[in-house]
Amino acid sequence: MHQPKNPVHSVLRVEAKGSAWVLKSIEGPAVLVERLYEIGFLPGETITLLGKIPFGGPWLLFVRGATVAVRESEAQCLRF
Amino acid sequence: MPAILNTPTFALVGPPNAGKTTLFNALTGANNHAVNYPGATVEYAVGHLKRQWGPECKIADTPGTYSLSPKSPEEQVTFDLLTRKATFPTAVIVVVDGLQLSRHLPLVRHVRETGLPLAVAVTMKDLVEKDGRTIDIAELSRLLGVPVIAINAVSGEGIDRLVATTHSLKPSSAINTPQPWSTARQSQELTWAAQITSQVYLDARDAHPLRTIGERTARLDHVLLHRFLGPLLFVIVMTAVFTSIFWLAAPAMDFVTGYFESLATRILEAYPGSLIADFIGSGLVLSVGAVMTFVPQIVILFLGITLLEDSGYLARAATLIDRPLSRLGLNGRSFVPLLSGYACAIPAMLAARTIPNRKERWITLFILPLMSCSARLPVYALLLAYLFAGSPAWKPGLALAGIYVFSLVVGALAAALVNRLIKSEEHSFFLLELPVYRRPSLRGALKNVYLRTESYLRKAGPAIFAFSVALWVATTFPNYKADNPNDKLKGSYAAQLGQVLDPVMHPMGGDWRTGVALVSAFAAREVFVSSLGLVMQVSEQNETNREVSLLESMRIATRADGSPLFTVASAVGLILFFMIALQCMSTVAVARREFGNWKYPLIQLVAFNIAAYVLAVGAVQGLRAFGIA
Repeated sequence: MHQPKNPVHSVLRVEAKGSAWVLKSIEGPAVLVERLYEIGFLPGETITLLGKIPFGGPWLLFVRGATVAVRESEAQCLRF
Repeated sequence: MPAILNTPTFALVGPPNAGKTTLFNALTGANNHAVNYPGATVEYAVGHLKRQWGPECKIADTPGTYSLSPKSPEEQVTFDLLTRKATFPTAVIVVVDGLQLSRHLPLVRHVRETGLPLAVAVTMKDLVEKDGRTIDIAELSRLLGVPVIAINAVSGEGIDRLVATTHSLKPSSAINTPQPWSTARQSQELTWAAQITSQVYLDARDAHPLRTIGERTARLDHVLLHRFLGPLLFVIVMTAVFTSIFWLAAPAMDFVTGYFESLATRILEAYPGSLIADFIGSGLVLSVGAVMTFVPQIVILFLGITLLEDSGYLARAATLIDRPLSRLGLNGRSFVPLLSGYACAIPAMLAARTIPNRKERWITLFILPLMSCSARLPVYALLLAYLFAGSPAWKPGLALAGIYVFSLVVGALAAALVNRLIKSEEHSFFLLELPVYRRPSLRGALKNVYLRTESYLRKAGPAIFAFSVALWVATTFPNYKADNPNDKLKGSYAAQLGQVLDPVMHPMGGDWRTGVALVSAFAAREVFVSSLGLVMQVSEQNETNREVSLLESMRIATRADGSPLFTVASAVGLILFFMIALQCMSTVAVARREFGNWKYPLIQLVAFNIAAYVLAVGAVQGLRAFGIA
């Protein structure tokens, strides 16, 4: 599979639980970007990876004091 | 004109999980319940303010939203309420979570921009204080430029002040439409919210004061969302909920059924030959009994769902199941509607409004009638009792579990099929905020169960009752004066209808009696049991000249050609029919409203019923081909 190297892809996938990253930007479909912003994903925020649901399920991210479950495809909109 | 001359209306607006519904319950003392799962408030509820809190006014509870830029049908409800002239509230109370100010304050700004009179209620201040911090409410009010009141909806603290403040707000002169969303605007607002938050948290070492609570939630999530334990616990929790529906409810159901049957018998014995006593006993009492029998199951299922919802687990369950469901064109958010569908499709369809993606919502709505709602349970219970007469209890129990699993498989197949047929360019997303775990209040849960059961009875009850009475009329008239019950039934309207149905029922292994019972099941599925009881009792009574139980009469009943009416094959066929068929007209009516058109509900109605009939006939004929009558 040839996939363009996506920063998040490589960052969040290989990083262990508990790793924290500073969000640089959000790239993706407009409605998703809006949702992510609304829920607190603001460039400059520190995002912590709390864990992943097995079998390719959602990722658990900690942002601004809240745990948010996002699909892998949604997490990939977050650029660090 | 906004309601200046009428009763004032206050709208409660807030992000999911902010404590809006708990406040609503405290203010109105009725309706709705505290929710922990984003979006359990599907339509806005309106209640009257309790007199203890102040002068008369109405309170509207709205679905949770982070902004006034709607992206799901339920967010649209909130948006419409605040932007349509016909529904302008007198004032708005924005409810924000004291633990989540940095994410919840932008909504205050959006509402402020509309120009509607506004007060802010801060919840969970007690939890902030447990963490050794506090919120400077006066400073927050000064920075926001609107009145702010800290409340505790459980103890009632601050509620009288909130109501008094909201009453004293000046009416607005002009109302503006909210500005459209933009990245720049949102990031500016979030930065602003973080600044304010850092100014109003006293003793705050950072802007996110979720230390103790956050840690407890994280510890629980470590187990409940664990790589291996998480899915395992999910299966255990759901199995426990479903087995309790069957095992816990069974004795209560037997009691209810037995009570109404013995009452009917006593009435009939006290006034033999009286038409009025027959109407009261066989018509009214047994009909009420048919309505009441399934109450224990509904209570247990609703109690389970409510406790899971209030504790915060349902949001985790939705997260755990998102991946498998998304393969079928569904969404983790479809989970709660589908689960509710096991109680009743009607509230379940309303709960589907939390799914923002239209296609995923449609597929959820489409397959919901296939979920094995509790109205089917009495039917399964009867047919399984027939099939497993004299067997140990675990056998029908296992068979019931099999029925549930099979109905899930059928639902999954239907979803996968519809998923292929509908094309959608709309982006699908999950993005669910997981609330902190809270100990659910049993009192709140019981109140909610009571309200849900009551509204269910009110919706389904009259239809069941009317049909049962109509059936009594159909089996009693026009020959009600006949001495021989056999003559009475043979010339009855029901038998005439049966003549029409007989050829249709024959391939399914039935005859006119199962046909009449199936037609009456279109009022409500469980009516099948009472209808069958009625037609069987009347038709068998005369031959044996004594009262026999429904099961016994099922065992001895024969068709016109002398072959037994109920066999393994025909009972299996009926079970399959009930699994697939869409017989609930209330569901069709709600589906029309939720789909927004007649096309899809009619496709459901026709497709499910034809599929059910074909499958039932296929099963009966197939079993016979293998020598199983």
